Amino acid sequence: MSAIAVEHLTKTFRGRQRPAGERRGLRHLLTRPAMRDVPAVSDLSFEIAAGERVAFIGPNGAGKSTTLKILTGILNPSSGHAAVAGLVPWQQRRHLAHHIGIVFGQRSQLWYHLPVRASLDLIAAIYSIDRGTYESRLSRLVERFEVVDLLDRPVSQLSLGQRIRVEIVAALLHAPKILLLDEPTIGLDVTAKAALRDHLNALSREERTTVLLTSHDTGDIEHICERVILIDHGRLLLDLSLERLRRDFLKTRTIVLATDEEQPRLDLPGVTAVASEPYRLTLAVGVAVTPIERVVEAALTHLSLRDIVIENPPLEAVIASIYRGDTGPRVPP
Amino acid sequence: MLLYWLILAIFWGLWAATPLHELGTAGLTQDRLLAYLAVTEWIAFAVGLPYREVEAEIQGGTIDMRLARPVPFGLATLAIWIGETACRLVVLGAAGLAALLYALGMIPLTAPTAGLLVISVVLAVLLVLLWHLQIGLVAAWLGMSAPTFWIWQKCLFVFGGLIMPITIYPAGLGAIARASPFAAMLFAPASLMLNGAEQAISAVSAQLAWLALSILGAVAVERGAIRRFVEHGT
Repeated sequence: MSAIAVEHLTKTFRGRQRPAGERRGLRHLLTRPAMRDVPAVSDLSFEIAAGERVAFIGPNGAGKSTTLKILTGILNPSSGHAAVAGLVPWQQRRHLAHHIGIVFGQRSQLWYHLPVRASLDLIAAIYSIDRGTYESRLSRLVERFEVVDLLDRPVSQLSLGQRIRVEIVAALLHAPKILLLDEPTIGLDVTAKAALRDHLNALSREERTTVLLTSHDTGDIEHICERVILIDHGRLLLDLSLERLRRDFLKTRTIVLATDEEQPRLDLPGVTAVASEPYRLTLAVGVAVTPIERVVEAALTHLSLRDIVIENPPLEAVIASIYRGDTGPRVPP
Repeated sequence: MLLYWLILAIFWGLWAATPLHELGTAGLTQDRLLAYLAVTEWIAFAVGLPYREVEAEIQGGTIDMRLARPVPFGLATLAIWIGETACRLVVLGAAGLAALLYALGMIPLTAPTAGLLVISVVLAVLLVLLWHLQIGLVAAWLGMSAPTFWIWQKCLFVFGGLIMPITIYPAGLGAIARASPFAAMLFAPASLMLNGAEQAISAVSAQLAWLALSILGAVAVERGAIRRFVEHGT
């Protein structure tokens, strides 16, 4: 059974269109603005198997958070169907809560003035976790996420990184099979991000937790996820493995050649020299024109190589080019 | 607690300088008015301003996290508020008791009336909390709750008889106050300090009736607010 199944999901918000212009305030008082539909999610379909770790990405306003809200049951769709852990979220919201853990990076589920332990005790009571299970689960999670020393501190005194780690512990207390993460590393420094990714990665592998993650930070996606669902304007753009995303959507790759020749040159169609130094040549390879293997082959034939480095552009650049619509799947040679 | 004592001290002094016998209502003495005020302020301070939590959760969107839990939002919120208010009730109750003993040298209550007072105060606190929940949820429609709260609070102070018992109000205003839910929130328990157990049964009955209506109101407002959240988002 799929952990998450979404079929033709659509959400359209209805709102009044405010008049534009200098006298809009007055006009707004005198006339009733017309209603307009704002589509947030349009005919979205995907399926996530149990234990999969999936990045759900898209530019701002793409419909990511709306979809996550629908999947948690706190927003009704306009049409379509979804099942999370076999339950219809908007019909069985409270029942579903026992099966999912939620971390919305900018929204806390802790009690600001209470010590961390008191907040976690309250959450355990809300989820009706029996004392023994709670204690053993808590001791494992606080160790895993390195928050043992924070248990007696008020939530208000935690740094952002510490708070997010505690938020994740809170979300996992009831041992959910599905974890929904909305921008979990937003605002964290590099070290805190790396630690959190490692913890999440290890935990999801150990417990086979299904992870659906939205993030603008491609580092989160690369470190935690194995599959990418990309949406824009509420519509599905891509649904493929991270590996395939890199392989199929790389338009340009970079090769750095270290040679015995002082002024190395390599002339091939679709290959341009982007930097040339003594004994070193950096090439940008248009892989749709000349596959990377042919460039390597030509370099080995025509140059006396001491070293060769093939660089991939960062995932961020790949995704940005997909958003811009200036790339498509690379046609295999 | 200091503010609570300060208010009691100010009115204690004020009533000492007020010709209470000219009010024409029997039994209103400086001592009894202080005891009355000790009860109304006890309730007002113990409850605090919990509606602001709900308002902030709606405005900040953290209500999403609360709605995604396996317990009804309103019930969970009330449960937490009741726990917090109970702690404050105990602490402020002790402070009020100490203030009355210091000022009057005794508490103007018999043991059975004291029992009724505790029951009446608990009912009053539940009532006020139910209204705070509804006021907080008003932010689902208006985007904020503070204006609604200020209007409600002024009504509570006036029609609930925060400073003076509503029995000394002009006839028309007194009738409106007695018919309103606000009297059940402050005047009903505090009047035990004036009348003893004489009208306790009718006061507690009125409180129970208002409690039942307020529960229905809170359920309706919560359902309406949640319907709005799940349709239009937070």
